[in-house]
Amino acid sequence: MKVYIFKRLATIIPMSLLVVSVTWGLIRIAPGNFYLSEKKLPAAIKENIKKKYGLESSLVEQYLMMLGNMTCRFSDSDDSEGAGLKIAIRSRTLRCFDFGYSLKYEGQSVNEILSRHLPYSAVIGLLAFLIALVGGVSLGAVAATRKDSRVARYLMSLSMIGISVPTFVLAPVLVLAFSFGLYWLPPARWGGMEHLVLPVLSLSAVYLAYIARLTRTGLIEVLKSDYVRTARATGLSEARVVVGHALKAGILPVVSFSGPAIAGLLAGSVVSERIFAIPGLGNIFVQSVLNRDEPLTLGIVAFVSILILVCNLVVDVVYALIDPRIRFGER
Amino acid sequence: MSSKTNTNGTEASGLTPRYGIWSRFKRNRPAVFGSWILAIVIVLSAIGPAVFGWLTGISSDYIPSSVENGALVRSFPPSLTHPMGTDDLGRDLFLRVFEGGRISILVGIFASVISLLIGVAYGATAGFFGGRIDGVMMRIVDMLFAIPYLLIVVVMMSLFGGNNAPDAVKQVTEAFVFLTNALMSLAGASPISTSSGLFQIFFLFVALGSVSWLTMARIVRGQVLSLKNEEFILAARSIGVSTFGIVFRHLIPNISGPVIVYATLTIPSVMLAEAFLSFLGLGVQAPYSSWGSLAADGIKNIAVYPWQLVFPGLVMGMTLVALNLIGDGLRDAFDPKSSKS
Amino acid sequence: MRILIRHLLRAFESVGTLTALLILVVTSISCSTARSRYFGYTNPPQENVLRYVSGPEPESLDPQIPTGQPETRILLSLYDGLVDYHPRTMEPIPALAKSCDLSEDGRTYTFHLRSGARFSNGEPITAEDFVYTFTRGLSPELASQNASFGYYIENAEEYNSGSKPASSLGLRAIDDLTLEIRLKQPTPFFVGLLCHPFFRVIHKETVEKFGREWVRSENIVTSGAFNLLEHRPYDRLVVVKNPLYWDAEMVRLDRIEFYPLEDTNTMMNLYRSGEIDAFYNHVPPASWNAEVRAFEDEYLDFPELVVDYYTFNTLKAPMNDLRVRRAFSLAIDREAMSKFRRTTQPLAEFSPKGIFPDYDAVRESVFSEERTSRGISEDEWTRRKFDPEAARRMLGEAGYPVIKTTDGFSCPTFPVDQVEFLYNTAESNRVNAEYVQAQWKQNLGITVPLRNQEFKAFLQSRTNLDYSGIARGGWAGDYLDPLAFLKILYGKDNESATGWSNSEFDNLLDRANEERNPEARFALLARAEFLMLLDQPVLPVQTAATNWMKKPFVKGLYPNPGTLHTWKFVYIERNSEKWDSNVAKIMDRRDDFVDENLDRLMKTKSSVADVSGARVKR
Repeated sequence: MKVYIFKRLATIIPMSLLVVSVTWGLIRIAPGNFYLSEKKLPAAIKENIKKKYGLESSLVEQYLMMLGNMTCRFSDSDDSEGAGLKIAIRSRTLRCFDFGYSLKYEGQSVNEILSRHLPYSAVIGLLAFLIALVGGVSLGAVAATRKDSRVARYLMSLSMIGISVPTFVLAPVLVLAFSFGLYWLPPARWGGMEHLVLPVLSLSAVYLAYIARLTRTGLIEVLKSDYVRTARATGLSEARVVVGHALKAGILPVVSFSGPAIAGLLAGSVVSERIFAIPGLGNIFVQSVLNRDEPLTLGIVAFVSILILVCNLVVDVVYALIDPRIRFGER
Repeated sequence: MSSKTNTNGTEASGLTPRYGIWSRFKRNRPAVFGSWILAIVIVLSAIGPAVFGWLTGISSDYIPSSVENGALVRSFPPSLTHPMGTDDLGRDLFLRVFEGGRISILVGIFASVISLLIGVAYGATAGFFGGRIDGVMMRIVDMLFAIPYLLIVVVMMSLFGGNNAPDAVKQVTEAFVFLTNALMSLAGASPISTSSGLFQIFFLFVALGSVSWLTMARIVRGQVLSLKNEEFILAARSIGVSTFGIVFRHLIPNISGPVIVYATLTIPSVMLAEAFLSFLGLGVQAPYSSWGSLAADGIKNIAVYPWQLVFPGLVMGMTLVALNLIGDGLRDAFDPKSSKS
Repeated sequence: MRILIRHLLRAFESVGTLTALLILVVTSISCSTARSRYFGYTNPPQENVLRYVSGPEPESLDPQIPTGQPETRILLSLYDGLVDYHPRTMEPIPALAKSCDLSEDGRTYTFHLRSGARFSNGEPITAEDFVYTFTRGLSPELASQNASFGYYIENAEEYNSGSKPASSLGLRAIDDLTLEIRLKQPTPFFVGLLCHPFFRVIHKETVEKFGREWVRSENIVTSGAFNLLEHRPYDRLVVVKNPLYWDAEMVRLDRIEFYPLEDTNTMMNLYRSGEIDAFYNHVPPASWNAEVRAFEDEYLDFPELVVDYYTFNTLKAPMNDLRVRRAFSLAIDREAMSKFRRTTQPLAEFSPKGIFPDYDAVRESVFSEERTSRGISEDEWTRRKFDPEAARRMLGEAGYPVIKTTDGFSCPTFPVDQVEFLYNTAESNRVNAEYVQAQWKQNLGITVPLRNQEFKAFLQSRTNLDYSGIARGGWAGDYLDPLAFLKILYGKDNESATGWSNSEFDNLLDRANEERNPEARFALLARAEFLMLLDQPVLPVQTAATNWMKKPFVKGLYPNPGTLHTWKFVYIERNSEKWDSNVAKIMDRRDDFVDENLDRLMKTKSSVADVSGARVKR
């Protein structure tokens, strides 16, 4: 198991670099560039911009330069500019993970933007996921154990509504109800705890509904299996059967779903960030793609890809822990 | 996919397998009801606009150039001429909701079929073989997750969206448009020319389909991993059933529950992804509508013109609930262990 | 049958839940919108603070880098220039320069600076600082996209492209308080251009010490009425009153908080809950028509220095045929369109209406002259805004007869597959595109396919003329002069994205640039405009409008043509008797604080007024 985890960890960096390379290619293929605007720039200014941002060298050189920034490279000058790790080796400096400067936001380094905006998305994303997980699993468990009851049907149709109401509809409706109907909560912006409630609620609704449905089906399968029947036969109460035995296996689809879901939530959600004016990473990422802000896009992609890979590794480990039938590396 | 092959299941029904599934489905009343709702929505989407237009003489892209009594307000509440009211340009909402249904339903079904076909086969293969094959296949899925699909859509639209598409893509698109036209002329709607906005929808389908199978693959793989060491699989293996047979006849039927449920969950999530792309201008091409784009428009005016959200929302909600009932019914019907008979 | 009904009912339970929820929400909302005099929470803040929505997150606080209006709004508070925008008209008013002389040949300006003006770190502002600022802005190393603003200065273009040294620039600090600027050629709007942040003074030592990071809040040194307090990107940017500002006495706001927001509904929500005091927006959601327009003391629309138009790709058939272009232009009901979403001015000319009253007058007389000489009746000319009959006739002449059908028109011979309507993604653009598409369908029987692209892809397609038919255009003038609009059609490879060019048009513009008499200059520009309109490479639609709301206690904030506010005139009025009412008349109403201070500043203006007066005296 330890060997397996170590092997997986070792592949993360090269895989993430592969993702970054593909993204780099896509950005270069996409039409337009960061300095294209309504106004036609004089040729001289275009030349100056190309020179300033190193767009004059060959594509291969630019690609290698980008890879160097993403990992490590030697820089001869000891300029104070730039972010990332700096290791002095004799007269030269080894610079690592310096994602460069944003092209759109002059003077801001990508590392700085990432570390500044990640916490906002992370707080909201984690809270939303916790609510979704706890709420979804309990709802799903109730619905599974009382499969054919009226309560279960209501719970499930409610969860279907949760899934089919897009965030861009749910969020404004919540704002209207809680900010202008009841005057309980502020309608937008980042601030105290009260500012968190609506974004977290509107973000968790969809995930909660998904998890509830996945838990329900997973549990229904398991509740019919032999070992649950055995557990029941030993005279355990139904609640203990469900929580102590069935849930562990029945939650597997939820675990699969959680990996990408957590990664997605941590990386931010564009729609709710725009509606609630939260300075999170999701909106910044979409803007960077639309602005063709290459270093910023690549920096976020590198970060998110590592996040996804790590989350999926964790999911696989959790899988093995809760379901003894799964073993690693076997054929 | 026979229930007889199931070693630890209930007794075989004695009827042919397919009939068994169908009859179990038919006995599930909510599922049958869901099918009716879905059928009605599909029929309304297909021929509703044409019939309505023939009855009232209104077409969905008719925008009154000026409106009497002050030109500012064009949103009219539901009335006899406009059963669902009008949108904020003065277009009939009934027509737009059901024309939008065509695209939303097509996108949803297309993406969930892709996710079923690719996701299940991929996930089952990876899970069954395990080891290095599984590792490589799953790492590929992980990487596909990480590549921003927004960027893929932008690139695809720009490369193939205009007149500079390569011939192969053009031919595929034309074939697709031809098919759509055939369907639509069956339904009595006017055909679409290749150069019109529907050209772009094809790429939308491909883009959404290409990412929708990833989570499915992960879920299927997880299920297969946990099932493949169960006795019935070992038994099948010991009596010499081929690998293909084990995967497709024994494993997949036994994981049909989560698969079908997740497939029905794919439909709303893809519809929402479509709405999000439309919001960024990469989705359905105006003046065509979809339920997602109608809801996005409606929410802006909710305080003053609530019907612009209520009707698209209601139709979309009903359809999704219906799909969900069908999904549950199918799950029960496919389930080899289903005790409900 | 009974079973069927029972199941129907049961299945409706779930659908019913949805309906019930929706109805609940809707009723709770409609109950909460009871009409009162003001929209939402209206109470002046305890402190002298203004909370304003400036638009998207600013690109940079370096005044010479960003190209957009949102940044400009913020930069105007942080930096001061030789001249500043008039709060109502956007004409230049004296700022760091108290007066200015212009040489006989119209090419050399001598600015006399105020003594005692200081940077935020206490160092004095001298003519040398302006020379540094302008030179840096034009330097090839900075690679500013705005550098072309400075191209009017002698040798500026050569220096920017690296062919001449900085010393050749037409800039000279005669002494600490006297700055001489020599231009390439007489440029009547040059002083007005100097209001732009590109020309606002920055502190040399700070810029050179910190490099590209000099604008971070711990490094920045500014020159305006406000200092940067904190900048939390995508959240807020706070500026506080600068006690060292030369005119600090008149600054009444202690603090301005700028919020970078893009979602119109979010802005509205924050405004309604009293968390912001003012915001502007170009495209209000449709429901605003019903919801907020009635609040006369807060809602406002006013013509803007922006034209909305569509371009034709004149190089490709069928739009290479003038008659087809004209037909498409005549078939849009502009009057109805301008009332369609926001209240704008329908436009059949190319430079905006109502922004340059002097030019409007000259244009009218020149146009009528030109019209008579070409035998175009006045009626025909005024009907250019909408004449579907003529449009159909014109299309028939071009070889595409329009046939009347039972429910409208049809034009079967028109090659629909060779045209498209290209626009960039934005809700407002989409709505307009749908409207225009319906107009062509209803009046000509032609359904032009719509194609939208995200902004950068759209720009690429349009600039490279990689579209067939029609594309959306919009142009914001950089300075208050019709030339700011007409120049985009100047020259062979011009930026109009139409493929159109005309040597006679170019010639008229050249002559106008050499003309020193303002009236004669306008006449030349008007003739050029007329000539271009006859050829119809563009399809003008409307003069855009700013739509915005402000709380009645915010005073001195005016909807000038670029919604670029001179913040030192803005103040919070606590006495509710003096609050603004009926803001549609806000531009004509006297405000003691604003007007007294304007008079004080204008005392030294005499010479500035003379030199910036390419305009005809009123």
